[in-house]
Amino acid sequence: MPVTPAHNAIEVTDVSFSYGGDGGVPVLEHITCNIPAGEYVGILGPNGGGKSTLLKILLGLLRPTSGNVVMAGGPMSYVPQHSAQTDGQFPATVAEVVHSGTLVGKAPRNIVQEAMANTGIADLARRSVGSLSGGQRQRVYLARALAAHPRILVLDEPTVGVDVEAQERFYELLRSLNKDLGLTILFASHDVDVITREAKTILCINRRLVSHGTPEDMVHSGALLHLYDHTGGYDHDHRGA
Amino acid sequence: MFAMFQYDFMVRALIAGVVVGAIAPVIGIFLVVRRYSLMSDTLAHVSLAGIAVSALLKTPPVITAVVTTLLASLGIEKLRQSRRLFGEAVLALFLTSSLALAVVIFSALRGLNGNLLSYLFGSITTVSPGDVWVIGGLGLVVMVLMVVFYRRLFAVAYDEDVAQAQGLPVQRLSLLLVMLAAVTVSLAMRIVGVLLIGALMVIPVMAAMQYQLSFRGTTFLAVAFSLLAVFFGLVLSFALNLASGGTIVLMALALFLVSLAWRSLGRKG
Repeated sequence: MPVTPAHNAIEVTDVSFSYGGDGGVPVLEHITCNIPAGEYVGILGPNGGGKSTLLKILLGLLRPTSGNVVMAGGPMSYVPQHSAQTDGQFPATVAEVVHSGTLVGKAPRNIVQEAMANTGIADLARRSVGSLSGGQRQRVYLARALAAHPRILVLDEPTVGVDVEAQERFYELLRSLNKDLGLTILFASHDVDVITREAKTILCINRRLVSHGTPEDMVHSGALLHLYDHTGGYDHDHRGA
Repeated sequence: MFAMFQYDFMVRALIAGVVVGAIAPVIGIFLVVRRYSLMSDTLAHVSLAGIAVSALLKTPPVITAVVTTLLASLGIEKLRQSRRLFGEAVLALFLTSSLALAVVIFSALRGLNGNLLSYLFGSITTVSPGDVWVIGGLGLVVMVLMVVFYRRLFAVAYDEDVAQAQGLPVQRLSLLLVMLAAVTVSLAMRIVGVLLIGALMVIPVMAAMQYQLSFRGTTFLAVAFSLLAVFFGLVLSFALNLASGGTIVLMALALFLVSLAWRSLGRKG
């Protein structure tokens, strides 16, 4: 059921996580934030800063050591990191992989065809997933996520290993899903350029929540300095290059 | 060629072989793509321990092997999911300790050496009419469950995290797969023997994967290869008085080599 934009799709309250439980290595500490329904949120942080861990907690793949997460925005789908995917030897066609997204809940009848058409991979349906380029494969995983008929889409470094042109097309697609279908989108990336260009709001995380606001808020608040200790190798002059 | 089927034991062997040949690759493809290939060998050694226990307790061998292997599969999957030990280490633990248990029991029950060899390498003459009913019945249950859960098992095999985020019961589905593998291994023991069961579950799948078909297409082709290997393996073993298990597996290996050559030629062409 669609959620009105006034509602929070996700409420995260004082969430901490340590590998090895209490007393283990802390990965996230006291994260509190609300994500309104229909928002397009980027999660920015250095490698090892806790972005993927936060996403996995939201997805229910990890349990927070303390704190609370409320998912009120409807069904959620996940597009994992490209590099985490099964290797090219796996015998599966595009249609089979997209179809595997429809196994839970009641999806509309033509959802698989619709998801493939929306992601521009309808003509690849019979191709082996292992024979696709990185960009095409990411579209397949996005189509699988859409076939689950979600209201919230969670993506973890979705364009790692994907060429620049395919990245542009991929994010264009995400923008239209957010705008046209009203999907709440959360994507994690360590790429400042991509996040500031694409996301409406940005969560800056480096174990703790460093800032939460618009891209302009992030730049003006000096959050990047906190995020990467110094400049983190990010050169403002090269933004958008 | 068909004269051999005037013997009842060959008819029983063929029926049991067809059942095992049909279900082994259906389970095997999931083991291969999830990198569980060693699981079938481990369960086979556990089923040998089950046979030893049945000799000790004078219980029906196939049923005892099925029960023992099912219990072990529960233990293996629980230990693997607890992540207290590496997955391969858990398999090695069960494989070696089961073999040790079987060897100790068989050595205590002297005079069972011939029987032991038939379980190790398969012996078509040991398939009794009762075995055919057990293999047929349990084989049907395995096949029905695999058909029912096929798409869910595919989703888990392709990406566990995505399947779990989707709300699929990943741990329970993994357990189901291992338990069905346990039953299949126990049923296949009479045909190909403990030491060669893994090959029947894995080699036809590896052969079918060379054709780069869909998952469903690869599964059907693997079943076809497996049935061909079982049929011609039985025929050859009878005609040339060879060990049935080894002959069946060598037939499967021949199909794999032909498939590999076909793919290599396709690439060059």
